Amino acid sequence: MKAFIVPWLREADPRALAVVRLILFGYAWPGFRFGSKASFAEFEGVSWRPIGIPALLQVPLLSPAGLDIVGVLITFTTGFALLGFGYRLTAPLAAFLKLYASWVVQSSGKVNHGGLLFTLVLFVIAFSHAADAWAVDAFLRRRKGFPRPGPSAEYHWPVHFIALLCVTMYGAAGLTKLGVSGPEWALGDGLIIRLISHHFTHQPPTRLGVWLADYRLVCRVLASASLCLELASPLALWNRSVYRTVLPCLALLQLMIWLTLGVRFREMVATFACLLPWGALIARLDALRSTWVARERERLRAAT
Amino acid sequence: MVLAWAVAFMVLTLFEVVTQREDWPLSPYPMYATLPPRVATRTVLVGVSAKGEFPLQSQHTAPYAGSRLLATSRQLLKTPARAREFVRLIGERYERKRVAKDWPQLQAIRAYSEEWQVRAGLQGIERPKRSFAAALYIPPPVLVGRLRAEAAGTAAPLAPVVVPRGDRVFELDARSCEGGCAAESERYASGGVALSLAGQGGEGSASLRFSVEPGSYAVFVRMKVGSVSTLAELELELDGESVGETQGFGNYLAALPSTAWVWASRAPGLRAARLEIRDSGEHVLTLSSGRGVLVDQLWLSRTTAELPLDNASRLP
Repeated sequence: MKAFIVPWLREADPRALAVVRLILFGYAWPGFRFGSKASFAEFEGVSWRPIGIPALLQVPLLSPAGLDIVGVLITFTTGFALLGFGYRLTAPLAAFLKLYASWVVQSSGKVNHGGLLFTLVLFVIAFSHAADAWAVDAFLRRRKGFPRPGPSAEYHWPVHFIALLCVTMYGAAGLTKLGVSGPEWALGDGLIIRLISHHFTHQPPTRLGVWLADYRLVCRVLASASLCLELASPLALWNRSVYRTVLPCLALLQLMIWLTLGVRFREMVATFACLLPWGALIARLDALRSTWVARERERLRAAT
Repeated sequence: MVLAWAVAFMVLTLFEVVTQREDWPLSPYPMYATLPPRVATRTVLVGVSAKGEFPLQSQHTAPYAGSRLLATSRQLLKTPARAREFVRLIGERYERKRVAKDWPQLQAIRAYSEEWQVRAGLQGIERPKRSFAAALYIPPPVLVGRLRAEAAGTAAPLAPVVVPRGDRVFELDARSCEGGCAAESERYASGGVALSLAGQGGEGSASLRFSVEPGSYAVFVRMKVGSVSTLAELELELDGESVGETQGFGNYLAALPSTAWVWASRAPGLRAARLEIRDSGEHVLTLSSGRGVLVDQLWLSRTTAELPLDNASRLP
């Protein structure tokens, strides 16, 4: 239990969380293109059927004009959240509006599981203190005389929560494979068939899959390894070494899925980018800057 | 608080996995969980204009495109009424953008299934087994308006349209009549006269003697029913033999419920029925029906296999 809780209490630099905010809201910002969801409203009762928890809660589908307004609000709220302006209001609003817009699309015949995680990740960052650095809000607070915030667990838990969402998704995917297909999923020829058949039905960017498919044993080892990786991924929440091994391996798995099968879970790129060690990078840059400033001071002192 | 949310998410996701439910935004994440079949299949959707088939792009069918359009089409094919409504909406949206974007008029969407045996080294990737899966007709709005006006008797007769070189048009007049057939005067028929094929339970037929260049011809008949409750069906025989792919020939009412003149062939949305003429000698084409159907022209085309967008009579 302690091993599960301790990582949530680690301290992090507010700028590291600001980077995560920039990545996520930068990806979520749709630009000034409005109304792309409004057209789904025309298909209500035909191909548009409400799904999931919003359907149970009887969340209504807005009219095309209402969805247009949602589109405009998403542009402005995600834009403001990206800049860290009025973050406490704009970021949660952006997360809820994106969730609603995503539900409108997902209720139209097909669920995009890759995008599902990203929708949830936005909620984590929206309810965090991600605008305490490199943000308009932070700038305004400093002008009012508030000090720069120091490292705190407030700036670490959101990243750990995102990692939890990520490994839970992979863990669930592994369990589902085992439940639906059993060990045959890893020990049979499923991966070989999939690697080849995707070249018939998709457009993988490389022929790596075709080449791999010639080696039955290698494919079985790869399938077993990927299934074990998925099943074991939640262990990353209990152990830092496992975390540092599992997360890069999951990112590599995702990359291989794209290279061999031609399936891009684009939102996962943004999600994995959040899990990079931004704090360590910022600390390294700080150290380099301090060294450079000290050296410059020394040089000026010597010159005068 | 944060920990409680985190644990709740994990527990709820585990619940989804165990129960295999999909309570969006929660999910058991079933991507690629099943064992793949040894046959790779792909559905290809194409648009149909009067000139033939053309590749459907995502902008043509927005907001439905790619895998969402395919998944939706597959689901809707199980419920024809909803499928028709879906295609009508797609057609309406297409039509709104068509003129500005210089797109061809869309009159149907066809789905073809492509299949490959999964073989090492991608053997046979260039030669999928392609089969017709389904077609959804989109009634052209101008034609629908015209049919309504004709049925109400408020439309002025249209000038005949000249067919392309190589096509043949035959007038069906009193000389073609056989048993159960009578010539009737009709305001919108070609030349003001049409043949009435039976009715009241009797079978009526009309025969046409003709000779054309050998080859493959799409066959269309200009026809009209007396009531939308009639089953508009014709039987077609070439030289005394039933033409293979013409089952339900002329049955257009499900797509165009109207008592006005239409060009018909196989059910709207499908490619037209074809006649294979093997020699340049004289042939006999027999049209028969027991449904009280009016017919006035027969059109054999080497230039199109799709229904025209209008219902005007044709001139050779």
